[in-house]
Amino acid sequence: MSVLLNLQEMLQAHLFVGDDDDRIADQLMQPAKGALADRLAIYVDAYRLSLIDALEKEYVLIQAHLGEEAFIELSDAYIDEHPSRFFSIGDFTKEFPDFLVNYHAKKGYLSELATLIRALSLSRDAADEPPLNQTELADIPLHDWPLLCFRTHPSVYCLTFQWNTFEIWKALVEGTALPSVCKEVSHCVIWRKELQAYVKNLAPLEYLMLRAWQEGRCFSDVCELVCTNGMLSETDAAGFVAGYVARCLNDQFFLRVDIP
Amino acid sequence: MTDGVYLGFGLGLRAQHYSAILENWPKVDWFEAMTEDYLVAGGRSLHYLRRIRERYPIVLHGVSLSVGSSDPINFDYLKKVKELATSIQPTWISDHLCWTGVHGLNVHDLLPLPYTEESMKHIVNRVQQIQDFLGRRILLENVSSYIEYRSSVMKEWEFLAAIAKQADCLILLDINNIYVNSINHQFNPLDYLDAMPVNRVQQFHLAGHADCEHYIIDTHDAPVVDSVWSLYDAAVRRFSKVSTMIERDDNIPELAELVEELQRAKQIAETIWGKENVCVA
Repeated sequence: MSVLLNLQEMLQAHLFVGDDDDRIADQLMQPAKGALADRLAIYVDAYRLSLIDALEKEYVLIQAHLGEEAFIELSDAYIDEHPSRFFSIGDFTKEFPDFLVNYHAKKGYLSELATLIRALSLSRDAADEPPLNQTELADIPLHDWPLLCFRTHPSVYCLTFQWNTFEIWKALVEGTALPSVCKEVSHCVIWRKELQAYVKNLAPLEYLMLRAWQEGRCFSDVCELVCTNGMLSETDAAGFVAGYVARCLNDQFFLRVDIP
Repeated sequence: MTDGVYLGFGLGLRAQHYSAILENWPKVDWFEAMTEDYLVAGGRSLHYLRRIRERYPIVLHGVSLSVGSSDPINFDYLKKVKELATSIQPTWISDHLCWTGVHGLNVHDLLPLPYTEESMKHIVNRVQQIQDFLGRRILLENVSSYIEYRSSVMKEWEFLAAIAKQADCLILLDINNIYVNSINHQFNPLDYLDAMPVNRVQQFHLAGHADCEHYIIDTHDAPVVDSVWSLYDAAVRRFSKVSTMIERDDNIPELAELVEELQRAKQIAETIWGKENVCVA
């Protein structure tokens, strides 16, 4: 093993576990002033603090909800389990929602809250593709509509929650009293319009339609889904889906429409 | 030997200042953007970078190149940097003479290297590969450090100068980091300046730090201190016209306050070079 790699492994190990692995100390000069341990502690502290800072920036609402001390404890556990493999420190925070599933298994909504927050970040940084506009759709002949496949914009994320997570998130953002945490299946969509990311609740049928489009299903398939799940007639279902397409266009959910 | 580009006096581009820049178009000659902040597909940060690029020269400054790491070069990262550079057309690209992790991990800190022949050869080879890939010369910046390896066989400044020469890269000389290291490792900072090849120093960094009695920590959270201004004065005398910028990463004040602080750098340069040779917008 090269001297360089050996030193780098030792210093990195020390950053991860501190005094539990201080092999690196033997490889370092005693400083002219002060103690070597204090010098090494600068790196150990900087490592932890920069990662905790990244988590705080991303999940400030969770920090506010749990309190600073509990959040640091949580962050420390996450850092130990998920050391960064990313060149961008922001990406280090992306496995946090999954981590919370087990770490806070009794508070299932926390992981969902983190998923929502993370999806907002991803939506904000999604590709700058122009959304589908009304004119492009108006040019499509009526007989092609059953085959139309609406592709959602890269900034669109559809989420399903098992808890009243959206209401909890909303209260945290607005600084109002938190609702009682309760189990209830709900859906939301996150998207970006201009430079601003938005989130709103979705009715079950709206979620069904958006997810179907994300899966690449065509207009007639979606009508059939709505027909089956919404207990609507075929004619009513087509009108219902067409109405939702108009709203999605207005919200800029769609990137383009494909005709196979 | 440098790319012969003199940009004048710049500031680090920070998200807190996007609106102020677009509203006031401050008298700043250029901005230095943190590369990793813009390695995204789209959205707000890239939007503002592009808008600001329309009016100001931009340079890209990275923290994840990890040029001294024993890991293989991360070409996925470099590919993204190259794509960003194609889009933004930065005047130059810089990163640090350090390592940030091994075995695929990133500790997100600028860790010091042992100043050995082995490290030098390793880094020279990597810088050459990186420059070939990017199709341009890069600038390497000296980092602050708090420890020194027993295995080092040369001074930090000898190490940096030799790498720059052998790899044919340029130098981003952080004046504050030289000062910080001179206190932490007890050397004369003027020796550092004197050892730097004049024709390879393309940019200066200035920043604040925290004095912790037995050592100094490079915090970038405070104004530049007088002793660093004095060293900057010496650097300007030695290197002549080098693009200069102030870095502030924490406790970030209003843009106007940083623009004001930048005037001090300009005044020092004016005194030495003469007023007609200095530009601030």
